[in-house]
Amino acid sequence: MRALAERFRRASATQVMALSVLSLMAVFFAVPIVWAVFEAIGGTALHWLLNSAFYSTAGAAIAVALCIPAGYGLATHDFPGRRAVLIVTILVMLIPPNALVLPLFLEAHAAHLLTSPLAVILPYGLYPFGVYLAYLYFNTGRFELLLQTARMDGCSEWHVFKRIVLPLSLPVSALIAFLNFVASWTNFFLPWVMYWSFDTTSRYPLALGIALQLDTTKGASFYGALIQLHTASSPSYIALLLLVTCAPVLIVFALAQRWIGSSQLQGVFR
Amino acid sequence: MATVTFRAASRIYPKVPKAVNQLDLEIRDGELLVLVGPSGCGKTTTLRMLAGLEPVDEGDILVDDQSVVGVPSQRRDIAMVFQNYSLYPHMTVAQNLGFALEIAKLSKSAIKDRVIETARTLGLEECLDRKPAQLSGGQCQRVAMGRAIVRQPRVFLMDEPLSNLDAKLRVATRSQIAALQRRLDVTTLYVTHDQVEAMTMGDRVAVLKDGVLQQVDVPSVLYDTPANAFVASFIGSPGMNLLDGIIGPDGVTVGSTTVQLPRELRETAGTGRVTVGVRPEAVTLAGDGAGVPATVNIVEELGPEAYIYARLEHTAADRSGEETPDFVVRVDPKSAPPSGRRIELHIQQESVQLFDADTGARIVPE
Ligand SMILES: Nc1ncnc2c1ncn2[C@@H]1O[C@H](COP(=O)(O)OP(=O)(O)O)[C@@H](O)[C@H]1O
Ligand SMILES: [Mg+2]
Repeated sequence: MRALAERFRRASATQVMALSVLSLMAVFFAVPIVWAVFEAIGGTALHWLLNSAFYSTAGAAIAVALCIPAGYGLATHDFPGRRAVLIVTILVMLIPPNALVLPLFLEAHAAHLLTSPLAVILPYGLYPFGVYLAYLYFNTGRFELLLQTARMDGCSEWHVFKRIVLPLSLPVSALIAFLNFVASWTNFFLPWVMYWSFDTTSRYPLALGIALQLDTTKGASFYGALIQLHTASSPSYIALLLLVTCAPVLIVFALAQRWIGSSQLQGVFR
Repeated sequence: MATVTFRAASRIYPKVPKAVNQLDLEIRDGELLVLVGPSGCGKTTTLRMLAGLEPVDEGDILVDDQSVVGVPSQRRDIAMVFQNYSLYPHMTVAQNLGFALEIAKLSKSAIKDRVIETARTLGLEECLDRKPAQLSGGQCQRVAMGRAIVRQPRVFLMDEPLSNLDAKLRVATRSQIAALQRRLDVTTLYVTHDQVEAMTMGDRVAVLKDGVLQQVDVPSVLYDTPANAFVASFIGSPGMNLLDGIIGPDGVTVGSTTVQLPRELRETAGTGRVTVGVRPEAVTLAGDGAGVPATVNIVEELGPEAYIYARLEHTAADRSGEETPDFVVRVDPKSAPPSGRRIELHIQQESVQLFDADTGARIVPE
């Protein structure tokens, strides 16, 4: 926010004027489109969209909140069992996500979480690949040196984390959040296993909602319904839903890519 | 205001020779002591032990007669300038300078005053709002210095702070740092691999080799009376020439030429093999058949003086396999012989130094 204000202060009057006019025009054209889309997809689908947004955002937020401290700890501190934790992280990371769906289902069942949003949020919030990415990011000599510099400047471990590690973790946080968001947003199998057999259509994410549009009441399988376009609603409606499904990923990418790979560590070394 | 004492301090990494081996060194209050040695000799390790970034495996380190072994870096009140500066990339110059004060919970206005004063001292007022990525190498170097002095610590540590600057800036900055250190009067341990930097900046200079301290003294003493052959060849640019010689009744024989020696030196040296040390400026060229014969290899012209790199004939002959370094002679550029020319070296006997052929220790005339 401060950076934004700073930029405004530095902008010339012409730039401010151009920006205002452009924003006005953007709003002018965007509002009808957004309105048209939401009118067309209707209340239920909007609900699914919001469900998806909630699940994926919550999952990504938990993932970032856990991965950064975990990766930082693994990369810069020596504690008993560190190697073991690292190896397990890498192993779990290598297991295909779909292979874990059944065990996760049984786990969720045992924990009485099957119809709870946690059943689809937690499997993404706990994100070993993100831990590994954070570990790689922090496991560099230049980072180590910065931490030592901060300690010599009198920082406690907590100060080091708050004042040095957190601000510098922005690029890797953005990357973790983006990858995690896309993975959970586009996932079908996990929510399907968790929710399908229950009467919980109001909890469906959008991906499941779209599947519900396929009419399987005539005894046809998914595949059969799909191939004959037996749908509960019109194909054009489904097409619109599919388009709407793509949009958030694009938006999240546009937001995240400013920081992904932005060189926060630039200027540490000369 | 502090003194620093290393007492037989060692740092032992697993599976390699001791990086710092039984170091005994005292840095006096307000002194600028330069630690110099070739790359990999343990200079950085020594600094980091004092900074608390590296454990002390044996021995002790005292600051103001209090052991700091086991005291975390945070509480040592020592500031360090790292070789790569290690500026906080997400903070402006002003924030970089004020960070330690902020952590120490000084008031906002006190921090501001000290940051501005430091920036003025180092000529950084223009850059206070910039991030490190927007600074030149020289400016980064000054911010790194500023971050150390703004804290007014007990001890400054500097690890090759000039090695990333270009040659001209390095020369200008080294005198500024020395002047600043004298003005602030803070005990300083300054590390460099560059002996010119060491000799020009240091109140005293400590020479380190393979983790072992060779000699500590004021620059002129290091130059005139090096403790051993290593110091002799390391200090000076170029360093002292070292030749194999045999002590005889009249002097020392190098190849087939005998160089006269002062009587006390010859008597102390006894008999047998020695290493003969000759400074490049203690040699004259003459063609009377009495000097050490050599062939000019390269001539380096530096303007006011020139250096001849010459191959001694007897070393070229008897040690065909092993490459012996060229013998360096300082001459007037106007009379420098061209390369390929056969010359004769007259070694001034009063400036010859002898070193034990096995231990390298200097043979001191009694
Ligand atoms: N972390 C380490 N592990 C093992 N050996 C090390 C480590 N750091 C330095 N060394 C060794 O210690 C010696 C001294 O290193 P250093 O103090 O960095 O030298 P200098 O700063 O004089 O170039 C070198 O031989 C180096 O290989
Ligand atoms: Mg070093």
